[in-house]
Amino acid sequence: MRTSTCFQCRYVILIICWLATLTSWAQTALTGTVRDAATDEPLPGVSIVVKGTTRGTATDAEGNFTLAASRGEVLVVSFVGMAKQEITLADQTTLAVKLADSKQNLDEVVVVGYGQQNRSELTGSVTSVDNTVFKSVPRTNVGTALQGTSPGLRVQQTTGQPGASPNIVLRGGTDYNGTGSPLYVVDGVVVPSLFGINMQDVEKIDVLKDAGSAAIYGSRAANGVILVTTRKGKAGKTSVTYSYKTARNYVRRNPLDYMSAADYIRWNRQGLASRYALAQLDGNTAEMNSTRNQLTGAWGWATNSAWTAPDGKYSTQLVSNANRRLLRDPQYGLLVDANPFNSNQKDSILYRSVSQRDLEDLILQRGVLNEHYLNFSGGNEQGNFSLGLGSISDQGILIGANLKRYNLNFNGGLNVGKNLVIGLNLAGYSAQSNDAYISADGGGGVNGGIVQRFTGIAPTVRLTNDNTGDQLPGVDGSTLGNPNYLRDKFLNQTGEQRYSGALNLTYNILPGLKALGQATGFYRYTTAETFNKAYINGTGGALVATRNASFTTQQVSNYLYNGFLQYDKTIGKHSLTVLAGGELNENRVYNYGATANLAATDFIPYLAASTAAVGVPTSSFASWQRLASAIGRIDYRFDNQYLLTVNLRYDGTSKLTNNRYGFFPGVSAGWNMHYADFFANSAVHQFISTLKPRLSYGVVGSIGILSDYATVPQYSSVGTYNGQPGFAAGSVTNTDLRWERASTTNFGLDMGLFNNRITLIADYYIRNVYDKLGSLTIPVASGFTAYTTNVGQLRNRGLELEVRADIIRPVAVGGFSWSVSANVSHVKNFAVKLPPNGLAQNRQGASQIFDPEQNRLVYVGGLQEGNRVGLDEVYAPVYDGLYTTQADLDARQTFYNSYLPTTNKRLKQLGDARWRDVDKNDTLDYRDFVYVGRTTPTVYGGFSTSLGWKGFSLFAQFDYSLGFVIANQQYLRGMSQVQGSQNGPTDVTQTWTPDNPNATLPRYYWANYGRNYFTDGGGNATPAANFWQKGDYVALRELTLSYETPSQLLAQLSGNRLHGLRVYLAGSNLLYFTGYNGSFPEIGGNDVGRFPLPRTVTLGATISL
Amino acid sequence: MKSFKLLLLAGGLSLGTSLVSCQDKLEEVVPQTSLNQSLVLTDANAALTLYTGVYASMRSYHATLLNLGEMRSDLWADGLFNETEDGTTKQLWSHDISATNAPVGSWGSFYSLLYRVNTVIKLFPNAPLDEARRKSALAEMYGLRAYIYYTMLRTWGGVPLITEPVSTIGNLADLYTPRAAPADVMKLIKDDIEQSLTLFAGSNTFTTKRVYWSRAASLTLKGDVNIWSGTHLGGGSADFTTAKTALEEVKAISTLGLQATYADVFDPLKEANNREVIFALSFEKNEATQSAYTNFLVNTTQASTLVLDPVPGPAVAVSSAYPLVAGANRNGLSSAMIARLTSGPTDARIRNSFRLMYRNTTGNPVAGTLLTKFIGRVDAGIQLYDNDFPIYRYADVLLLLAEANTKLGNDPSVDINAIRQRAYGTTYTRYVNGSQNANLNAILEEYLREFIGEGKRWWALRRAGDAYVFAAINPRYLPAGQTYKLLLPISIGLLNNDPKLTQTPGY
Repeated sequence: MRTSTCFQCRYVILIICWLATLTSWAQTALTGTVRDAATDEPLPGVSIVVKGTTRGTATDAEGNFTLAASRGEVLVVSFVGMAKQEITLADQTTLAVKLADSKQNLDEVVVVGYGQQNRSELTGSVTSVDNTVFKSVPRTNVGTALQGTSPGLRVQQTTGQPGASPNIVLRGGTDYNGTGSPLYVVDGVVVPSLFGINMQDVEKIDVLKDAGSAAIYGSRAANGVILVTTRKGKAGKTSVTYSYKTARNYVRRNPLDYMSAADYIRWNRQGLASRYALAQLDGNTAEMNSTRNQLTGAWGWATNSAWTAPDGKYSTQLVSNANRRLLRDPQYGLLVDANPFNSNQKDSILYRSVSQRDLEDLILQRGVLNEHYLNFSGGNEQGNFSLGLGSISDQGILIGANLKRYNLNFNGGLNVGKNLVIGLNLAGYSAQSNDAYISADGGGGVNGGIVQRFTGIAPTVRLTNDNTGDQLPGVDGSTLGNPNYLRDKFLNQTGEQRYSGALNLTYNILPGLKALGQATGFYRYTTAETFNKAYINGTGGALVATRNASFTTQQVSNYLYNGFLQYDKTIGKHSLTVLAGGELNENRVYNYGATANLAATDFIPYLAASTAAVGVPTSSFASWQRLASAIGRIDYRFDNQYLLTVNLRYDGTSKLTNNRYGFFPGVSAGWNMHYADFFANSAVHQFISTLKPRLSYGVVGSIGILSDYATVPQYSSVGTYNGQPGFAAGSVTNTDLRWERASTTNFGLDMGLFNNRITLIADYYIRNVYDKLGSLTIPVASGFTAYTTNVGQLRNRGLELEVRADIIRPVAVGGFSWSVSANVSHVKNFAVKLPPNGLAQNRQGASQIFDPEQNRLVYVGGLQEGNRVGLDEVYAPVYDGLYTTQADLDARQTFYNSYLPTTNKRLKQLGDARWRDVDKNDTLDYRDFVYVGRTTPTVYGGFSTSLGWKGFSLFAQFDYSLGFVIANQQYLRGMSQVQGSQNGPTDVTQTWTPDNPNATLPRYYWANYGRNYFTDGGGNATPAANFWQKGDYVALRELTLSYETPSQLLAQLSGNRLHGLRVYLAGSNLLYFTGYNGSFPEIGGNDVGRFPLPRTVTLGATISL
Repeated sequence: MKSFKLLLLAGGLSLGTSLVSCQDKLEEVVPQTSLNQSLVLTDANAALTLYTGVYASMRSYHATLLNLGEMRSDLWADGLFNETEDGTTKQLWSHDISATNAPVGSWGSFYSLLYRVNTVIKLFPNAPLDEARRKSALAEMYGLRAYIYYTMLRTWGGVPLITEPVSTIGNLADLYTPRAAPADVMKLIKDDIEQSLTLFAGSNTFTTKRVYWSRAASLTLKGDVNIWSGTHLGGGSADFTTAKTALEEVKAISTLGLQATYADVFDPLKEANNREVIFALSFEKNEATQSAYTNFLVNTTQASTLVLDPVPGPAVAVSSAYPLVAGANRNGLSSAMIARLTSGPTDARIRNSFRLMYRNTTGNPVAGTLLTKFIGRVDAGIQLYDNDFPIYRYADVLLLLAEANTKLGNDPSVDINAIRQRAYGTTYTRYVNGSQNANLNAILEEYLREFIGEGKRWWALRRAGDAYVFAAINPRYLPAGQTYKLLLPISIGLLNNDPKLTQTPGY
């Protein structure tokens, strides 16, 4: 290593311990009290430090403190969540300080990397999440609290599975495809996700957005840093807080209405007739016969003779002497329908029907959530502590999905002597979650999982025996089977435990100089277990008694050591803080797994009872990486007016080989203009109370997309062949990869109007990702399709705006108050430079369409140098109305549809889509595709309003995403009947027929034979542009009514035993305001039928003793 | 202040040690579950993993080989099936192929396999293997490379020729490779076959399960290739003679011959020393099982409504005969093809290749076919699809030899009759030598019946000559004269991504 410095923290800790024997010196005593400006109640645990020295103390339970200080010195009084104050001492010996709540103003304390700052001193772009959203709604994943509350973050929930982590992307992401996960740091411990963290333990969440502030996290901070701070003990009387939440998860139904059984049968027969007619036009007798045969095939609408049995899979049957009695059976309905192949013949069809709601009720349920939380905290001169214990159980609305979790979080601080402070954080959780008994969304494939497949199952399905009423296994053993039979057959359980700890040491060496050391680590064990009980694979099917049992276990260990020296100095109006040190981080992952089968019974759901192994059990040291870093920060302030922060980081990683080290600096500057004399004296100051322009520039790194050994050429296993191990190269390796570097220039403005009644935080940024690590398409003949290089540049450009306004401030304690806040984010990504590949604009993944304006073929989508990133763009063919008259058909007789399955591709029938021939070449093909939209939102954010009066408060939180498109596959797969037996939405009955000649929806064909909805038969292609919908939505995410008993009243009533009581009623995920016709508008692109978010109503109470 | 100095001293010391230890800490991190080139060049067992890796990789080309060799033929055209069509195969049998609708993209991914073959060819001369093992492994690799390029030549005509594994990616422009002339591809194929035969040094040994390339495979390929070059590349009778000589040499190998019972060729429990197999792709429990025929099977709902053998009866529900089979019935044989294959004297090959599934309605019309040749067996409560997939077997040798003889004007009947005798039993109708046209048609009839599901029929038609292709394929799909359609186009995407590539002539 040529220039890097790397600290080994254990040395530092040793030194710190050794130095712990040093003593301090005393001065004359100053006493005082600190009270809450709003309630006038004493504040315990407030930190009071003599500026530029190591002298300091904290207030006791009555808010009193004593401190040695002398005239001219400056006291810094600070408390998390309150505005910090600086008081220059004159000759006084007593002091009364009042701290104001900083929640809604520009003076809050903000946690930054390796320290904390007051927002008024902050120069970077950092969002502190409004902790109102922490309080009421039960959250099984902390990440959901960020949705709509943090400008710059796009937070998308993707599933209603309890505990699931939402997708979180900062400022458009640093990957071309718009992804990139932020770094999560909980109390200094870098963790892989926010899963498992108890919301109730969280005191604060801060998001470092610009490189100026995030540079201190260097190489891993390109996608921002989310810092979670858990509760710390405050000096004063020990307090005990208990809170309880009980909630109901209400079913969110599919807004689509499906056809009745009679319509379902009638329309599928109609669809066959359409198919038959087209095959006839094509002169294809084989296809005509095959279509005709489907009338009695094995479909839910077909009159297959197997369906006449009282336990047939479906119930559709022709009336015959054998079943005539069913005409009087109340279970049965009768449909008289013309035979689609012989209009003179009427078919009398008997069927049993099950309603859409009944089907939904078989897989959806009302769930219950319960949460308990107990917190003990306190502190005195010797130290402080906070212990949180929590448990939560949450039942999802999809049957079988649930989560149980137990949490422990301990923060302790110990003052050893006068100069050594030891901080300890210990946290752990144990979470046990079960997935729905069958995958909710089928792994995201367009075929979908149980939500799409089962809710759209044939309404003629037979779930019980006609005669006995016994439950039947249903159509098959997977997504179409009877949930009443199958729901307890497939066990699928995941358990996760994580234990983390952080030891922090602070030693005051000399006035202004201290040493800081930290050792953190976590272990995470994840075990996934499955067991299939013996089950009958569909009514009348085989008994599958294989009883597969499997487990996989993953062990992750992560250690981090660091050590710093910090020097604080104030000379006159100059104030300086310098921090320097080093850090070493290591992460290892081990995987174990095995599968076995043929257990004797269903009663032992473990491998223990299996009698044969399936495949080879595995164990592997799957991942290993290290990061060594040198870190520095300089904060300089002049007269609290001019602010400058420099963050420096030098990182070396084991992931790279030839270019291991990278230097990542960040500089940010701010100007508290409102402190400037000219401003303070001007008339503007009456309106503008705070005005701080900020400017930052920084470079952070990223190698996130690289696997551990991405720069090491290697051969890995490609399977066993005839008992021998086979290995091969999976990729062609680039040993010269370098750090990807993201530089952000951030222009920010903090503004407070009317005595900070309205505050505004605005940021505009340009992030350039240089040396972009990306996949380069290489010629197929090389044997590979892609190669990882660093030759590229991505640019994100965006704007964030956050406004908070105290529209009505309380005139007295308990007075009426109303505040609102809103934020908006917008970002665009550009491919500035791409690896040269000899193609125009070095394009990758672009496709060709015809542009009528330029009258030529153009490349669109994908990546093209100089253009916006087009990977999320959707292109599809579009139709302009239908062929409704013979004249329409004649006019386009020669029009060739290359997607038709017929031999003659010029065929068309009345009611077919009249495709737009964009390039006027009389042919429909890829060149006629038009731009539909993007699958990622261009504008997103949230807003909230809060009303307060005498302890009552009403809070509402909304979030929104605009400017993206979504395709409802539940709707489309029904309209196109690509799955053969599925029911479709009632819109099927609005499609074109000779009897409905003015319809605007194209003709319904069985199995999409006319290709009116998709260009292929299986529904895997992009649906026509006409069927993409705008996903724009506003969600009413939270609505809470709460009552907090005023403390004086409470003290009187309880004889001073109770210190706080809050009760509330909260609703979450209540409502989407959207034009989208599915149940989950939050994610663009294909909606294959997701596990919907429940509507949750919570009743909760918090009591403090 | 003393402590301050001490701190500086300690800090300096720790800094110094950490400078060194830091670099070490990063370098300690090395892959834990993979091998690398230097291990391959120092350890024989490590080297052999790359050799086995080629076969393990090739196994995943099963469906591609089936599609390319069979699905464009008349065998599966206009089939009866119970579900919606298999779009991939329908595109092939209906020849719905154009420059904008090119099937089998990215050259069938064969270059990925060639990279692995080329890696072994490059590294093994320096790997610490004993000389005999090194030579036999290299002989197999040259044989495989010839087979892969031959498959590509037959599919696309001229293709880029790559014989060295790429190690680093410098200038992309250097990687763009134009399509070689078909004659140059053929030259490489023949050179590789000779190289393979030289390295085999006359050894005709087989492993217990014949799942590795062998000398017999190289000879059979030599016969196959030379009939092709004789027919399509102007090689004429010189090439046919070369083919005949090579095939006769295989025919004479004592460890090879026809299995007495047709079904035994494919039986997953009779794979050891299966005398008919020359080279097959291995599928085994806990290693890999077949999935290429999923759409030739039946789903559980359909199976419960379809029956087998209603005449003479009693009818058996498909779901009771094959309770654990699951898949989809998206490919089938047309009524005409069913009639052609099932009428006339009982052919053991037909009953052991597919079963007819009938509707459960009056008269029991035929609903579709169930491909049973590769349906595996019930094992541990599941259907285990573990049949090996033959690339070459002894029946190929006989029919190829019959072809070579026919094209040379000789009498091919002895080999045709050997095939017929096994199929129809001792009372079989002997084939008597006829015109060249009649002989070839007789050979093609045996290809049709013998190799259902083995990816052979299309190649046989093509090798016979263009006229035989157009005679067999419904002109609605492939009008006579559309010779360019015998080769496949490459996709617009491929052309977009490589400026040196050109479209297949005619598209």
